[in-house]
Amino acid sequence: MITFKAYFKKEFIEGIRQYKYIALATGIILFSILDPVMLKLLPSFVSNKIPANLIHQLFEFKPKDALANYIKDLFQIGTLFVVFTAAGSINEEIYSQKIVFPLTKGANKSQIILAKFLHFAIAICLFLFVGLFFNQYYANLLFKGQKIAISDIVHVYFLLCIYYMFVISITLLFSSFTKKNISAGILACTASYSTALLSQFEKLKKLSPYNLILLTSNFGLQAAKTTLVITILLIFLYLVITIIRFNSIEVN
Amino acid sequence: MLESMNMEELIKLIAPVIVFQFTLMIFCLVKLKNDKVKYLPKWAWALIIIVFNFVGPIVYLLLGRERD
Repeated sequence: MITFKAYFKKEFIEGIRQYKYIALATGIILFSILDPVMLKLLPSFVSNKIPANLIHQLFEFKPKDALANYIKDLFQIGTLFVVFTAAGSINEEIYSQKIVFPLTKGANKSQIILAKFLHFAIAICLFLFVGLFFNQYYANLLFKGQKIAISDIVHVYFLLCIYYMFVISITLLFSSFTKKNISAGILACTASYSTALLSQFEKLKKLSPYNLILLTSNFGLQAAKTTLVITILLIFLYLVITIIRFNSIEVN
Repeated sequence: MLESMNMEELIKLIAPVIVFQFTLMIFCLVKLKNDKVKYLPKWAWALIIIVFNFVGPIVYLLLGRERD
């Protein structure tokens, strides 16, 4: 437990020093404000190209459309920020030999991985909470129609948190297998985006973690049961593989 | 009230975001001046920071800086 606490604190300090929190906040919170405003401005941007009567038919957005647009951007762009922030956390420890000193002092490798995972998970969950709160406020303020309720936000928040925990676990996994953070990032991005590809097949849809993103528009947790179980199992599996891999690496 | 908002008023609404983007850009350019960089030369990183809003500065902070 000492290793876990020490590494958790270390990750927090490193997060500030290496501007990881700025990156995560930008990737997650920024679009929550930008998206509803851009969606509101969209008709003005295209007003010269499309007849006025068509604009009202094509661009009549509701608050929930703004939320859906934010979730789409979170998956497409926010994931990149999350992945590249976490991509170097294990390979940098090993290949820049930062890990040697803690290991000689008897640090537990499993606890190091768990501390890293939990640190990123907590940070992302906090930023997601703020992002969804801002998005709800702006979407309800700018658009007419049925407002986004707190219960809808809680549902979306829960699914997004689980999805991003999956993204972190897969990033840490690749980070333990590669030497450079850029290669870990590319591999993790490919894996995360390919889950969307997997969900194109009707039979595999429930098995793909991306289904959690799709289910954010379906405000109820019943349909997400199978995907939630599969995703949580995958998170555990990836963490176990990462720990095994980390234990097997010879540190010089 | 918001239905009658014009473009200028909506831009005022995202003023905090614009200020944040500008601050981030300046911060990264100042850091770039003092930091050692990797993967690309300094002028290329400067171009990325200035051209790509939000993404450019963050990419530089995460990937472009050589850590001691």
